This record gives sequence, structure tokens and C-alpha cells, in this order.
Amino acid sequence: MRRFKFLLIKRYNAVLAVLLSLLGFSTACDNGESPVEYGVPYATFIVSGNVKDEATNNNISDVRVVLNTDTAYTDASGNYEVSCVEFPEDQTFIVEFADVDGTTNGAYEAKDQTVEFIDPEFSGSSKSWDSGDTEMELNVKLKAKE
Amino acid sequence: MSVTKIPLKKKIALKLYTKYKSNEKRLHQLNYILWECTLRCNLNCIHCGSDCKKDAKVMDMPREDFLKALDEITPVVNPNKTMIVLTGGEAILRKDIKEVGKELYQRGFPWGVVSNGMGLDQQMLSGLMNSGIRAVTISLDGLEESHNWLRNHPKSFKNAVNALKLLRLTSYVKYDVVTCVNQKNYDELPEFYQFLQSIGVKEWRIFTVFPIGRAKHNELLQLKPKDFKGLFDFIAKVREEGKIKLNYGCEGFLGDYEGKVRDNFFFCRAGINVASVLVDGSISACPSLRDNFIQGNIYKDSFKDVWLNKYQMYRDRSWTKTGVCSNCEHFKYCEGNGMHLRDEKTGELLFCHLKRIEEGEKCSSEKK
Repeated sequence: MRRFKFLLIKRYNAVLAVLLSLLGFSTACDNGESPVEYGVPYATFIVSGNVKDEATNNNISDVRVVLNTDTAYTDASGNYEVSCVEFPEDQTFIVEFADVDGTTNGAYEAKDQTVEFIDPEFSGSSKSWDSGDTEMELNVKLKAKE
Repeated sequence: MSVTKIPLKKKIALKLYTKYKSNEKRLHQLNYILWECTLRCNLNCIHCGSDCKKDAKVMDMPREDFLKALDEITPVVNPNKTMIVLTGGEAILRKDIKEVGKELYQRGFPWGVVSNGMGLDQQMLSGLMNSGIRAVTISLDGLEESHNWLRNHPKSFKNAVNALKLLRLTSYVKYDVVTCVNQKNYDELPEFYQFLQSIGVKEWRIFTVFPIGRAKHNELLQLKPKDFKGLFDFIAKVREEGKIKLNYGCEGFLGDYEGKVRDNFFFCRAGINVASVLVDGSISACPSLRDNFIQGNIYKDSFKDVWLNKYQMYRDRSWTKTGVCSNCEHFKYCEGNGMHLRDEKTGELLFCHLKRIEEGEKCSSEKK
């Protein structure tokens, strides 16, 4: 009920704002000081590479790779790419590798690998909030389960 | 035509706006939080309202304390639509300002600083930008001599201008200039206007000094009535030219100048949409509102509870209809002027914009 009343008053004020603008005046509901849009600088951090069997050096497909909220699976050649968006500065991430398809393609132990972007260089900036992309290669070897 | 003679069309608009304001008070939606994050300052301005000093003995509030208060109030605000402004003292003197900024960013709040520009070099600006800063306000009070006089420092103009030049090169930080107009810089306003355009400033706000803090004891800081009126003619003219977005500050009902010198009609949003956390934890509306205007303290009270259940004196301004306001026919539009212009102890009005403009009109007509 309270929420309904709140929305009703807001609607009422929107109508008043229209009437005022018809008379040539503004309500400037943002105090004239608030930003007109919300945004912060950001960059895309890309981690890519290859996953191999530690003993045989064979590529492993269908390994799940997780970086923050991005998830990918290695292709037939064991390659993957994951990315995330963060502040355009030094960043440290943990990339998780896990064999989740049972014994298909072999069975491997999971592995977490730390990736550090130090003084990263960005390319492809859109000259706005977006500082561009930076990429790092991370090749890992997984140990077969006994 | 006198400033108190308001044309019919504007009167209708003001009446509609009175209803709009009344609704805003009922909604009581917080969307602007000022944090007095330090009292330390690298200047010693002669008009300062906060009486801050270079080596202020008052400790900065630990950022964890402010963030805790912010987390308390988050359920009743939309972080993306709630601006956090760090003020002081000189906010960028905080060693952890970048960490503060990142914490605000991670919570989804846009944030900005008010600065004198003294320490805002490329390195500082880059650091602030990498912490997600969204808005910067630089104080610049006229051409070099006038600014340095008011700021009480020989290099303050140069540093503030350098900061503005750096800000111009950024593509996504919203910035503006605020100027306190006084007797020293009044005559140079046209030249200063040209100067601001030459350094690429697009937004400019003008304030007049009000009689609190150090400003109370310096006559030169307050404009004489004729110039006070002249200032609004100047602002109206600049706005008509449209080369720079100029607004008079958020204080004072201005009679027929309403709608001519600001984007919006006068509306003191203190305690209606605006809250402040002062350096000692006091919860207020604007940082210049202290003593009896304080509504609570983050070290004793829940910020959320204070916002939801207090601020009655801000939402119902009928108590301000006293003294000079008691018989004023414009009270319905003005509602007692800006709250910061009322005495902190007695609540009496310290300064009426409309009356000062009327005095200016009289001076002008007497000369003729």
C-alpha cells in the first residue's frame, strides 16, 4: 500500500513536471549537481591459453574454466578464453580449471591458477569509460586422477 | 519592473512548483549524500564556513565508519542514483581517498569531490579516475589576484586553473567551477567569464557568501545591494548567451529572477533529498547545517532510522515563518530561504535574498 502511494506521488510529480515544462520552466529534480549518467572507468581483462595432460602433453577438451563470473570450456585443441571487467589497473585473478565431464576425455584433478596483471597495457579504448582490453596467456597442465 | 512583481505565468508555475515541492517532501527520497571526510586543508581561505585549518586537530573519520553508515542506509536508496560527494576541508588530502572511491564504486554509488585544486595534479586525477570518480567541482573565485586574495595563497589560482585544464582533457568526468562572488571580484565578472570560456569550462555556478564562519567578520565578502542585484542581471545575460551553463547556487528565493538565473526554481532540498555525515559522525542535511540542525550521529544512531524518522524540521518548514518571514507575501514560494541561512541556535533568518535585491533596486532608482 505504501509502495503504491509512493508511486502515485511520483506519477503526480511527473505530471507537474510536464505542466511546468509546458510553461517553459524546469523542475531540475537532480539538484543541478548530480551526474546525468552513472559510470566508472573499466577495462576487459582476458585470459586465454591451452590445457594439456601433465603426463602425456595431450590437449584436453571440455575442461571447465572459470574467471569470476565468466565460464568457458576448452575446445578440441584444449584452447580456452575467459574474460572479466574490472578497474583499469593492476589486478589479480584466480582462474579455476575443472574436469566436469566425468571420465570422458580422461579424468583430471581440478586446479586453481593465479593470474596477475601488473602495469597492464590496454588497447581498443572507446575514449569513454572503456579503457580497452588487456590479454594474458595462461597455459596449464592437469594431473590425471589415479 | 520590481523583482517582487511576478508575472502571472510565472506565478502559476510557482504554484505548481509549490505542489511539486510538497510531494518531494512526502517522498523524502535520499539521493545526495555529502561526507565531510576531513577538516584538514591546504588553504586558509578568508571566507571559509567550516573554520578548517591546515593542521586540523580533528581526526579524519575512518572510512570504515562512513561505509558502515552507508551500508545501513543502502536498503532505502538506489545506489546508482545516489550521489556521494566528499567534502572537507580538502577531501583529496585523505591518503585513502582512492580506496574510499573504490569502495563507493563497488557499492554502485557515483561519487565526486569538491576541491580547491591545489593538489589535483595529473597523478592525483588519474588515481581518482581509476577509482571511479564521476564529478569534480573546482573552486575558482575570479581572476588571479582576486582568487589568491580569497584563498589566501599566492599559488592557489595557478593550481586551480591547472586542475581545470587537466579535467578538460578527460572525456567522462563531469566537472564545473564554483565562484563565490564578492566585492573584490564583482567588477571583473565579464572578464572572468571570458577567461572560463578560454580554458574550456562548460559549467559554472555562482554563490554569494553568506554570513557564517570567517565570512561573518569581513565586509568585503558580501556584495553591496546594488551589486547584488547587478549579479543576477549578469547571470541572466550569460544564460541567454548560452556559451556556458551558468547557475546561481541553490540558495534564496529570487522573485522575478526565478526561472532566469537557475535551471530550476528555488528549492532548498536539505533534509528532503540531501543528507550529510559530518567529520564527528553527526548526521545533518548540508555540511553548513550544524548545532540544532543535527539529526543524529552515526556512532549512536542508525543512519537509516534517522533518515526515515527524523528531519521533521526540514520537511515541515512552517516554523520558519517568523521574524522577517512572518509577513512576507512570498513565503509560500520561499519557505524561509535556504536552511543554512537561518541561525543555528535561534532559527532566525540571517539573510533574505529578495530584500537585498529590493534594496539594490532602490539604490539604482535613487541614482537615476
